[in-house]
Amino acid sequence: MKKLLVASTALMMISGYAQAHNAGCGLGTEIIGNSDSVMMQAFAATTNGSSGNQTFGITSGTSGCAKPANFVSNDLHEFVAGNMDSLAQDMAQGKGESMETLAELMKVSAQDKPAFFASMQRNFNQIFTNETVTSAQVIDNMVAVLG
Amino acid sequence: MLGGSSLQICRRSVVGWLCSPLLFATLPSWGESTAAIAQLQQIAVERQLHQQRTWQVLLHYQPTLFGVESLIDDRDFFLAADGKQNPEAELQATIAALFEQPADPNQAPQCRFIARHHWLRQQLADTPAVAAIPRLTCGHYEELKARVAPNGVTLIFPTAHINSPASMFGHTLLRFDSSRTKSPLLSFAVNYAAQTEENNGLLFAIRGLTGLYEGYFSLLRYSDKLKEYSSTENRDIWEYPLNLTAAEVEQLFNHLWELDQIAADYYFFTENCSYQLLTLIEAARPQLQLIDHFTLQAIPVDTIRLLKEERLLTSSHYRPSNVTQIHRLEAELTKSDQDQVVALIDGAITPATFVETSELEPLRQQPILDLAVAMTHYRFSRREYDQATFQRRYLPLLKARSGLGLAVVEEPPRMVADPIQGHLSKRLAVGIGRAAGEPFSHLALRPAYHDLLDAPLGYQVGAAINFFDLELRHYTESNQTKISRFTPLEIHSLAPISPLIHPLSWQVRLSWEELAPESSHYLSQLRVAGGYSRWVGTKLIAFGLLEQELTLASVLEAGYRYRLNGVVGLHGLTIMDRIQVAATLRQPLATLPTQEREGVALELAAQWSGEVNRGIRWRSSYRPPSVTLPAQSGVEHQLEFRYHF
Repeated sequence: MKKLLVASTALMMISGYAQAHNAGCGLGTEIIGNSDSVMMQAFAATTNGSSGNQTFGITSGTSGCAKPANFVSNDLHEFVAGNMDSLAQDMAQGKGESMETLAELMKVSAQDKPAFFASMQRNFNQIFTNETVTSAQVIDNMVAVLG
Repeated sequence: MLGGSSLQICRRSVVGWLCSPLLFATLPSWGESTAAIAQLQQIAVERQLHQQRTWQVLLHYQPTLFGVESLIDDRDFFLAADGKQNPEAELQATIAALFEQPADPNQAPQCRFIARHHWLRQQLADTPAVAAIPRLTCGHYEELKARVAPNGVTLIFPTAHINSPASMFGHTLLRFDSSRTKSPLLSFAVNYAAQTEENNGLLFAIRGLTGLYEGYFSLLRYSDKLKEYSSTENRDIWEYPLNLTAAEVEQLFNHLWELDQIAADYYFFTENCSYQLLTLIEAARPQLQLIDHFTLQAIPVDTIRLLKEERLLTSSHYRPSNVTQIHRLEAELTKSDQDQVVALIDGAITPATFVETSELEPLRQQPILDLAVAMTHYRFSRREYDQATFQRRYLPLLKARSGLGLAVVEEPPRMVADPIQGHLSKRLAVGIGRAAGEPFSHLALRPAYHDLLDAPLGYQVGAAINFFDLELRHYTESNQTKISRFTPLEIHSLAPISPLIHPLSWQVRLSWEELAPESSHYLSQLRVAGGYSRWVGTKLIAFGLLEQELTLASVLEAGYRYRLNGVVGLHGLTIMDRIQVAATLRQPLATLPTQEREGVALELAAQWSGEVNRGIRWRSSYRPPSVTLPAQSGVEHQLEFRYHF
């Protein structure tokens, strides 16, 4: 039975989308799907087909991305690792949904948010240091900036 | 009753200490279980529980000619051998299965079928035997529930992507709004999709249309779905929070849990994503009768309209895609600003240099960099860059932008129409006309979806998709009624070029039409065209396409005619936002096998839509004299009333 084949350990360990399609733990990992022809893309939209894992087991980790040196919640690392591009874009602009989410995950209070966004934007170069920066490094850099 | 007499025995007996409550509770004897099961099953029969709406909904039973059958095709969903067709047997088997206690409680039916368990307990709450049902700890379920923390449900509607009209029907999924987190990006989304590794586009379509794929529900972060729909596929998204109570949300979640890794055959037209989502919403509130409305087709936007009728929608939230944002930014910039963007994304100037040397003030530099960033992302989504190139171009732009501070300008409010306000999907037309000098009256029926002259509110500009349009005519003079045209498929994708993005425009039409009013012959025709279109002002689109046309007809000497046509035209919205016009010129450039030189054909049409579902359309066409198909030449006029329902 399919059910019995599912991992019977306490935590479901099956990682879904991110593992199947992530090309790494840095920038340029938000674009998902394989390189399909236009035809294939057109037809793919008809069935919304997915070759990814379909269980409800949600990853508890970050799809194999190295953890930051600082101890942070899994949710925070998972979010940064999976949303590097939009986080970088929003951080450079000093606003945006990714930044709001980051603030929530880092437990920034409502009144501290404007200063938090401004600080992150000002220190963008220290956080997203180079093209191949990884999610773990970004988190550690953020922690360093926040002091 | 049973438990009570056992306790009495325990109190009176010498070895009563063996009857400690804990021991008794965790290890009911086999005899007691059997008796309890029998009793519960009997009461279930007396109360005809299997006939109740909730049971029918949880098991996805649908009436058939001979009784009922579940829409679920997976053996693992049923506990009785004939559970797929027999609600009573399934209910009896479920009652018995609630007593099972395997080594891993997560595998127990009680923990796999949470919604059924809860409902049965509730229905049998007044019977003493219900106390004999063991209470297992369903660890995996509890964990997932704590993680997702569902306390609201939002319907998510990614709309079409312009160059993929097959996606024009859109898609629907659900999002669990969480009591644990605020940001939607951290919420979890429920998606139903066909599972496949297929790489051949045509096979993919055929199998998706005929139920040869299995569909499964999946649960993943909403941010992952946004990456897919908004960033990669560049589709706008509409979000509609649903009006469900906390208890209903929990029941929906519990039923979804029951469907983990359970397959149902996927049918693109009928049992598709939107249809299956409705079954989840019915599980939340069984009094709702939703899927009954969708026997022949389940078009996503129609399912959303039904939810609105049922007062389940309260508000809507619009999320523009990356491409939509790009077009918005383009419109805000002057030509020279746009040139700067091009220079940046082509690498003619580095972002750092741009910021250093630009004469513009920082506030004016911001949108230029923002657009360059969005364009870089767009090109990456189109696979024009590999990951390394993307990283090299993306980061310097962002570094430069971060030095310019916050954007002070407030974003203008969005003026985009909610898709559910658009005209309905099925269309009936009644009219009169004149073809080759002969008057006719005309009746046409189309099950889906939208053409270029229909009221554009809520639909994507320049995109049209029609299925199975059937036109009948009654010619008054010759007194004959016949099919004048049947169009299984017609797609238009006129995606206007913008300063930075130059998509291809294309159209396809497969049709079967009468040769001429007085003829009993028919011809089949396939047209495939590609080219470009552009805005003329803000309301008209001009297009130029190269078209390949293949006509098959018995009256043709060779049986076929192939032509290469040049097609130019204009289409758009003119006076008072109520009138749509279309003009098309078609000039054959080369013909096989006869190499005749035919003149240009012309089509003019206009429609006035008083309201979105009702319109009056006029159409006139001229076909020049033809050597290969002489019967087709001539002038035709038509005036019709159109009604969407």
